[in-house]
Amino acid sequence: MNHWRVFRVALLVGARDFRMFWNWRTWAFGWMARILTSAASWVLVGKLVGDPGRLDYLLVGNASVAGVGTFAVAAAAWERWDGTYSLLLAAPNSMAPAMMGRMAIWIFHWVASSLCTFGVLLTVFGWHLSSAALLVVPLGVTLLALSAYALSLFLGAWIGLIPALRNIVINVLTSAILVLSGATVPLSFWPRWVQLIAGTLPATHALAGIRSALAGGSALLIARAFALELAVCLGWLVLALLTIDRIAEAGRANGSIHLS
Amino acid sequence: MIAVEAVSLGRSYEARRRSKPVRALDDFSIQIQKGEIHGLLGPNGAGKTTFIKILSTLLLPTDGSAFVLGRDVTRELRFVRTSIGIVLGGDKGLHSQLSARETLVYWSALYGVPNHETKSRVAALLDRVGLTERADAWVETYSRGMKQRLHLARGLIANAPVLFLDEPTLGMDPLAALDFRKLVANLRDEGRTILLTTHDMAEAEAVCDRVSLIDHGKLIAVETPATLGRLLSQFERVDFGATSAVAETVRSIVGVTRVSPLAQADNFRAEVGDRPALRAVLACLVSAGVTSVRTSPPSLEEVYIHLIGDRGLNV
Repeated sequence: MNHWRVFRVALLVGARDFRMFWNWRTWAFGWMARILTSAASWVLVGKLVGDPGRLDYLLVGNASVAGVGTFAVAAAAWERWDGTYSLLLAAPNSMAPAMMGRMAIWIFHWVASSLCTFGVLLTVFGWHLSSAALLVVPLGVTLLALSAYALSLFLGAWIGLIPALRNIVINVLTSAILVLSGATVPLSFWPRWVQLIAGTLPATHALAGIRSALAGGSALLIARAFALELAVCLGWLVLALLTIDRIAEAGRANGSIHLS
Repeated sequence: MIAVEAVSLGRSYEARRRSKPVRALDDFSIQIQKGEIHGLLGPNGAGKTTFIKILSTLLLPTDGSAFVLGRDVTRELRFVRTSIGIVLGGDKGLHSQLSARETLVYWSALYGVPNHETKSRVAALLDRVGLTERADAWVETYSRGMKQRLHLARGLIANAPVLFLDEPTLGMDPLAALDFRKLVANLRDEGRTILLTTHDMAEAEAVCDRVSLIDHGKLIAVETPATLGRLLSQFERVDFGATSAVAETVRSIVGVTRVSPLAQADNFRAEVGDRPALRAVLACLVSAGVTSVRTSPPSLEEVYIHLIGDRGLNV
């Protein structure tokens, strides 16, 4: 019960973090302009190649992962910059709900970024979605954002302890999602062992489900892909919940937790 | 009753990999009574913050034990964490994008303050620290003094009986610091135990019941501010009005540790190390025709300098 209360108040901290970065104008004309430009440039590469299939592939991939992974992981280091990390650890409640709440705001940001990117790119490049796909895409994008959030929580626990890892983790994570999950490079391109690693990343299965839906694939195939994405999400979430406090407590032994 | 206790407490760390371990705290033993305001004084790196971190459950000791209200700080985390409030100094430790009210609601949740009590407790704390009028403004708009009062309210949110104050008046203007000290004194009247680090000698003398001097991780002395002054009673100080030539003569007397000019022109202060030296100084001044002479006990700051040396007064 108290965990839920902590989550809710921490969500407010996250919402204020968001407000420090964006208002609706800067979000729409700054953030979305950047994301759309980035996604559109990939799609244009596909168009230049002259292969409509490749264009569709890149459009769906880039729209689905638009912006994922950026700010949530960084938010974990903000407790250190604020000087509140040590106070959170010294409080009797677990740190996990506080971290989960503060980072959760970025789920909405990712889903909104992705759906807006879908909307704009589909309109610009003249694509039409079936009504079934119109339902499946938001579901897939939400699942993708949730599993990216769960992985961010786990990585965030390490970043909270070692803030210097922040930029490395953000760059590796976003690159890995973009390259290995099937967003820009088909999964089949990679050797088997890379495919196995990709299967544990957020986005891989959700993207497969979204692509199936857009290609008119069977409901069973889509459901299987989404179920796998959900499993990845839960796996990272359980790992995060099991380790957040333990990782923070490790700082007690090595002396890396400062009072301010 | 003992509120805070350390028994042969030690903490080592390696400054660099494979370097010789540094003893941040070494065979450190102390007992702090319930309801006491206890000051920790020492230069940078003396071990004060290490001690506070161990008591706050943020650092594990490598030797010895520490207890808060009789409970081991390394084993009984939940009890200790609900029993202590941490009040940081400076701008860190607050979410600048929350208001004071939101800050206190946030920490109420983390400390498990019952939901139905939160609103009234937050309002009472805001009133107590004088932030009611600005309670809904973002913390980033607050002055240094207001932030510090919010820090204190945050530390009190769980009604903890033991408080750790880490340089609480750092950077505050004198009036704000005075107000803050009054708040701290009121907390003692409620029976709370307060352990505070400070670099401000006047603050230690004004609010502390006892003061510990720490250096190189070791406890040098634990006394009341007044007793600590008497500790070095042999270090009498003599204030006199005379020419620079007379001051130089005084400086040359064996046993005089220092002669320094005072704010008023042609006035000096001599610090002497023993009684014979004091007699020699007085005799010298009388023979030089000096009539303005005054002796007095040293301030805590002077005691501090005599005990620790001139390595700096920063905590």
